[in-house]
This record gives sequence, C-alpha cells and structure tokens, in this order.
Amino acid sequence: MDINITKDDFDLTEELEIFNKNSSDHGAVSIFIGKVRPENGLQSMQIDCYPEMAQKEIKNMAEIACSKWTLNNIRVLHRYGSLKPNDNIVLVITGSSHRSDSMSANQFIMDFLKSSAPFWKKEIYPDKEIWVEQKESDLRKLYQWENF
Amino acid sequence: MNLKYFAWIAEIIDKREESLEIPSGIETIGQLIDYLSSIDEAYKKAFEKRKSIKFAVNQVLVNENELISKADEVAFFPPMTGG
Repeated sequence: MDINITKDDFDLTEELEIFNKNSSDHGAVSIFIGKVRPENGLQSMQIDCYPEMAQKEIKNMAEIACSKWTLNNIRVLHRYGSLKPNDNIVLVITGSSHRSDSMSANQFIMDFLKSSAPFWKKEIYPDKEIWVEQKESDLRKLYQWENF
Repeated sequence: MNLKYFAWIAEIIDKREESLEIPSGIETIGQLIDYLSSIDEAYKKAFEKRKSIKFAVNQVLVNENELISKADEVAFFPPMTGG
C-alpha cells in the first residue's frame, strides 16, 4: 500500500511499474485518474491540503478497503497546489485476483477522497475565485457503502 | 497550543498556522472557538458559519465537544472537496 500526497504530476507508466514491482500477481488492475475539468473560463484550480491528516485518513480508508475486498495492492496519489485545466489531480490504482474486487475498491476509495479526505478545491476565474462546496450527492455515494 | 487553518478559514484569519497560549478553563473545541471569536474580529468572522466547519485534533476528525490540551494540534477547515 502506497499513499503519496504531492505537488508533483505523475506519469501513469511509471506509477504502474512501481505498483507492479510491489505486487505483480494481479489478475485485475483498476486505474482511476481524476483531472481538472476545463470549465468555461477556468484559469486554474488551487487545491489546499492538510498533508499529515490526508496521509493518515487515506491509509485508514485503504485498510478498510482491504478488509472489505480481496486486494493485492493499493496505490493512491493525490496532488495539491496550483493546477491547470486538464492537469491530473488524483490517481487510484487497485489490484486484485478478480476484477470485481479491484473495481469496487477503486470506486470506494474515490468516493472517500471526494468528501472525507482533507483537500479543498478553489476555482480561479478571470473575475472571481470560488471555493468548491461539498456536494450532497458525493456524501450519499460514500454512505451507500455498507458498514461505512 | 498549535492551531492550523485551511481553505477559506485560513483566508479570513489570514494565517495557516499559529501557536497560542490558551487560558485555563478552555477544555473543548467549542470553548476554543468561543474564546478565539472573542479576541479578534477575524476569528469571529471565520467561525460565523460554525455548522459548516469541521475540526481535527492531532489529525483525527472530532466534534465540538472533544476535549483538548496544550500539547494538541487543532485544525479548523470546511467540509472536504478532494478527488
């Protein structure tokens, strides 16, 4: 299990190499990449973060994922700082013997990151700056998971 | 006590982190918010929307009734919007 909170961008090929080096006996690998949506007029997205807490919280959630599904490995990378439209924000890689485990765990971790990991997005437009508000729909997605 | 602020709370207070001597008698997060709001307008403004603020003690999410001590790191932030 690897959790990386960083300002730096990532290269998917390199990330997959590291992922496979740590555990290569997967029958299934699920990859999710979240990017900055190029909304109309969006100049940049500022992501604030509490790195020490994020590291702990994501590790806890990855451990819960490991208890819910049979997983061989998890790699989570979440960026913070100033990002441009189409930049990568987050990468979640999950590996398992069978696809249902890696796919479900990947979605579970993303649902957690959207509304329970200590990151905050601010959208920067030419004439205004808006702190993104938490969406009720994101919270509902998280709470629909059994035993969460 | 080490205090940390994030997102729009940090912008209103105009600080991301500070170390403050907290008077004795302040034992919970709720009491700490009341105290900070009483000493400076910026804190008062930041904590106006109290119901939309979350708290962590030593990087663990807690509620307003959580007991705190001088050695703790207390963080204030809005609901999270990661991913």
